[in-house]
Amino acid sequence: MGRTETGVHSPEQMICQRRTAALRDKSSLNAMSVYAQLCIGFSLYLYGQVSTPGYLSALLMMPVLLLLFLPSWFLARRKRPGLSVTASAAGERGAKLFFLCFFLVHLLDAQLAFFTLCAVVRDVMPDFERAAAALAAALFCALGGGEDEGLNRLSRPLKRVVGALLLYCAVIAVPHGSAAHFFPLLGFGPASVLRGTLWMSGGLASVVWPLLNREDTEPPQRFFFTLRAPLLALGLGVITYAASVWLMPVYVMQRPESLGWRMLLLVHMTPSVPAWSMEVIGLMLLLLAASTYSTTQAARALSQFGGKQKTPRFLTAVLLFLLVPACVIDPDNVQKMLTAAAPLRAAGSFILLGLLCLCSLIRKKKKADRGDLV
Amino acid sequence: MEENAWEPLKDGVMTDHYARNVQLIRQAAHAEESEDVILRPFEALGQKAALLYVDGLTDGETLQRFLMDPLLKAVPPTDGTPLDTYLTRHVLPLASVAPTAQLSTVLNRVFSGDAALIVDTMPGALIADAKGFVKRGVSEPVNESVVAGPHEGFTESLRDNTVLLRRLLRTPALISEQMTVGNKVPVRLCMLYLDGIARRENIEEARRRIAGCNVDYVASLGMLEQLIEDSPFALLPQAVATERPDRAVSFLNEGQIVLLMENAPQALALPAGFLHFFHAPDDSALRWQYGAFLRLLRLIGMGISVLLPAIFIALTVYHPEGMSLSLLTSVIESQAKVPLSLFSSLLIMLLVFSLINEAGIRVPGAMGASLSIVGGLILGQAVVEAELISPLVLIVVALSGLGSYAAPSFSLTLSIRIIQLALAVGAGAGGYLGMTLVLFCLLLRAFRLTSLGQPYFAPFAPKRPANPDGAVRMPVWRQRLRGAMADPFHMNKVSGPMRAWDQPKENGHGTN
Repeated sequence: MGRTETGVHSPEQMICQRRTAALRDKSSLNAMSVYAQLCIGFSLYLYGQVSTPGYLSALLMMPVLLLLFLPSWFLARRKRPGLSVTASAAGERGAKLFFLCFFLVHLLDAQLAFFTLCAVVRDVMPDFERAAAALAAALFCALGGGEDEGLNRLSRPLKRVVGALLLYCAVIAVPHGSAAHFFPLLGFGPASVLRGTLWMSGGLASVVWPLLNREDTEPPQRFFFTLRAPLLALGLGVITYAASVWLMPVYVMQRPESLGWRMLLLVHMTPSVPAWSMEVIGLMLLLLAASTYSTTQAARALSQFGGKQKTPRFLTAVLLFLLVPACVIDPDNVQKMLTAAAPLRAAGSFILLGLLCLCSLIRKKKKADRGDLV
Repeated sequence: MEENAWEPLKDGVMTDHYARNVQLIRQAAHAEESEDVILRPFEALGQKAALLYVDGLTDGETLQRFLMDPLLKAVPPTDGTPLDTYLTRHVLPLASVAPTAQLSTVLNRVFSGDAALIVDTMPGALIADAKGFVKRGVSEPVNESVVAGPHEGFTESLRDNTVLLRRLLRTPALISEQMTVGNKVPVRLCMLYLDGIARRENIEEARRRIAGCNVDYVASLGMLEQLIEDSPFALLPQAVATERPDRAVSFLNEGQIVLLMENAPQALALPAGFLHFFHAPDDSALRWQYGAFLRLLRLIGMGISVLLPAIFIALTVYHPEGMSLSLLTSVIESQAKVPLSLFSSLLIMLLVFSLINEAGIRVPGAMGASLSIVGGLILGQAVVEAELISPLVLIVVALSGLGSYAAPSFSLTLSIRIIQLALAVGAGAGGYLGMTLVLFCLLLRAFRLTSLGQPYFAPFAPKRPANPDGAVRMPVWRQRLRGAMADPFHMNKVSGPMRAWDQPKENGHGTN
């Protein structure tokens, strides 16, 4: 019996390999959530306000991603051994601040995904009872949710299925589009493009979370391995947006359509029987996965804020049901509030990361000084 | 009262006192009440002796020629050799004779077809293999027929089944561990695995679970499956049952454990992954292109079966804007004269389909064909002509039923039907939202599943280096690794390429 050529020759290597696979699934789920947030961001900001040059805003998010990623990577590398949170040099208070901030980031992510899901349902089933739809969605997400490997594992095939469904819609739509829709580009000016980038950067805030909130058991990862998932999500987001621009002339994009209509834009522009069904199902699955993931992570952050390492399942369920009222009571005003609050996710993350890096550097300097004295 | 009747099975010990032993056995085996339990007293070696056996379970000729004749002709030992040793070595010309003092062992063996010999002054009893009961011969498996491949199937005899496996896997690495399950009526069980290929942790876990089954009697392998599976409330099956020795061997080769049970004409392979249920026995016997095509067809069939009724309901009831005008017109026209709603008629027809299927399995073979004609043709045509059901509904039900039959596993077919109904109800209640919510919830539950502690969707989720023969049948020569359930330290089937003859030679010229 030949020994394996799969790089596994000892129990330690086997455990490491399994943990790496689990980490890969986790980061793939995070990337799915980032992609969902980007799609929501396009629908909330770009189609109505920045319009055609929006894909430039999306492209400009690459440096934003790096700006979020690099300090997180720096902090993750300097993590104190045996500490399961990012506290690093910032200590316990810094960790609490981190968890609180990311509880809010994930809760906002979850609310946006859930709200958008309800908006899509409103668009495709205008006569369906709004409260019933929201409650059913919360109930089923709560039944399936919880901090375990189920959702992580599901993300692997789900991203392929959702990707294939959306790609099919895009391919069907291509003959109906025109390259001319990409122009005029500069009529809106660079300020508009930058504004778009700023508004949408909130969708990238959660890329930091899996990097910094690592468990002790997780093996160290390579830089590009970790960056790959969010980078792919961003790339896919840009392609999705470019496909929309390809399809729609600028005046259509600026019409005040509902959020649900904008989310289903591809299919509205190319009515096709299978494409319609596929995009609706694909989008619903994506938003369900994104809201369940974000709520689970918000519950985890809240538990860790309270000093607990285990997240009780009911906490995720409670948070999911807390998302319901915003989708039922006065959705128009809620949408305005969410639109205003969403960019703050990135701002908060930037400030927090800056503080953590600063603390880390001060601690390093103190250590060096002590070392000199000795 | 009932407990007392079984008490001797637990802790009765036999001594060298003949009268006591006979009395003990007579009581415990109910030799006076049961007419087929024979306790035959006689004299051998100058001592009182008795032979206990169950008429019909033992072979009369073996009893006569290899037990009674030698015993009656034997002379007592003169050199002081203990009686059991003397009988075993010099008197009884049988391959399998073993002494025991445990009454429970004696009863267990006697009621399995062996004979027990009790001799005065000999401690305990001698158990002689004298099995000779009526059993079915090896025949073609009924539920897993193949186009290419062997035509042998498991039978109800445990030993015959292990022989069938040994004949295919002639290696000492094939370990066959015997154990029993059931407190009151112990049933023999065989756990087979390939040493060094099956995961040690899986073997330990299987042993632990089987030993931890606290039941009086296990009637079938399916019952055992329910007792040892990870998630008893999950819809999806977590162990693969097969009637085919060649399939069981392929599971063993992939690092899985195979369980055989007395009176069960199947084998149970575990841990099992989702895609194992899509692998048909002749997949590997066919060329990879055909195998891949058939396997994809099965997966598409499953997709159609699970999703088509729900999509049809969601589209027609909630999302008519998702249909083309011609399709919409056709649906409206066909539904116009039907008194039932689309949702109710589809649900009824799905249930009727399952009913016909169930009735088709239960009725005697000759009537099965008539039933399918009545169910499929006459009933279908009649309900359409009577305008009770729309023809479109019938088409959807027929297509989804056809898709569910494509799955080679009966357990999977049943779970597909239940999922199909759940999704259809979801779609009926809330269109695509309802359908997607049920689907999402079921998927999450499914991806949480484990079989014997191993992830159900491995090696795809989580990703693990393993045999690429999964959703698509890969060429045999590309399958250099074993299955995801195998020992990770011995994943390689061979070292070097499988088509070694096809490699370029040193002078740069290949055989091609």
